[in-house]
Amino acid sequence: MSLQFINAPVANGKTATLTFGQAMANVYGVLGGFSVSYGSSDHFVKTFQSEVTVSPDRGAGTMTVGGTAKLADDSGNTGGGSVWALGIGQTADDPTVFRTQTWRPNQDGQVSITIERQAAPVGRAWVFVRGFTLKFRGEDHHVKTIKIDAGNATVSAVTTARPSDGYDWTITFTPGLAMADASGTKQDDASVLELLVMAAPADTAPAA
Amino acid sequence: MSIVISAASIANNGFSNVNAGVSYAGGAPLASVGVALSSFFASFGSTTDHEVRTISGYGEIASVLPGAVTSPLTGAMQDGSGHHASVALAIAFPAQLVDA
Repeated sequence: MSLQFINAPVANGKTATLTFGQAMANVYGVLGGFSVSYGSSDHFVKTFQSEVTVSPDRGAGTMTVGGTAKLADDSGNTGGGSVWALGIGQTADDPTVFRTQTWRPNQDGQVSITIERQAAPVGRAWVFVRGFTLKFRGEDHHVKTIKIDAGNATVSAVTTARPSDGYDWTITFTPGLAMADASGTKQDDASVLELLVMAAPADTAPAA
Repeated sequence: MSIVISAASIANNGFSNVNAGVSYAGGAPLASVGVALSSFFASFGSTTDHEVRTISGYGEIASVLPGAVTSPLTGAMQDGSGHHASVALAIAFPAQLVDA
């Protein structure tokens, strides 16, 4: 049982094929990071977006990751760049549990995910960023602050024993996503953070 | 086999390829290591905003040793006039240990 991790740079609008060397039951893609630029000049920002998408080919032990990394204002200026994609491959007998979660900063608060009927108590849980979209409300604006936070500083993983039926895991965390200028203009309701929760049973997740 | 995860963070007035060392408990050999964004925060100041030219936040893996990883980290937000935002970047390093 194992997880395999492969990082690769992917330019905006392009794809890359990651090879694990063995068949994987599940594959996931998250952001290792991003770099976006308008080029030689600067501009206002309307939209700032970075994302990793996944096309699995599990039987062949490969996955194709697509990258989105772009800036745009309201005057037709666009910037591109690249993402540093992380591909995660999971063999069929690996007990780690993954869940995707969508989080909207203008609507959502603390996240609580319950994973039922596990064979062992939960050990640790982590949250990764699959992608994000930040858009200013109304027109484009200068930027004062940008915040993208998976919420790992707030993660708790709690086990509840079920009578004769294994364990339920409850993973709780608070993500963050924000963009603001100095006049108080903030992100709009379409801004969104896409997350991947990874939780491991206690017997496979010693303290790091 | 076991999964471990460690993290590195750095905060500065914009930085590029600043080496961070990450260690894992026990110093066990690592079968596979990844780099994942955990958090990125950038600010030009409490009352100042600017147009933007570049925004970057990522880590890479420079070397993998038993129980340790070295990673250059880059975090920046800047305009075209030399204004650099303060940046705090946290990168997670999930790893699969080899069989004991």
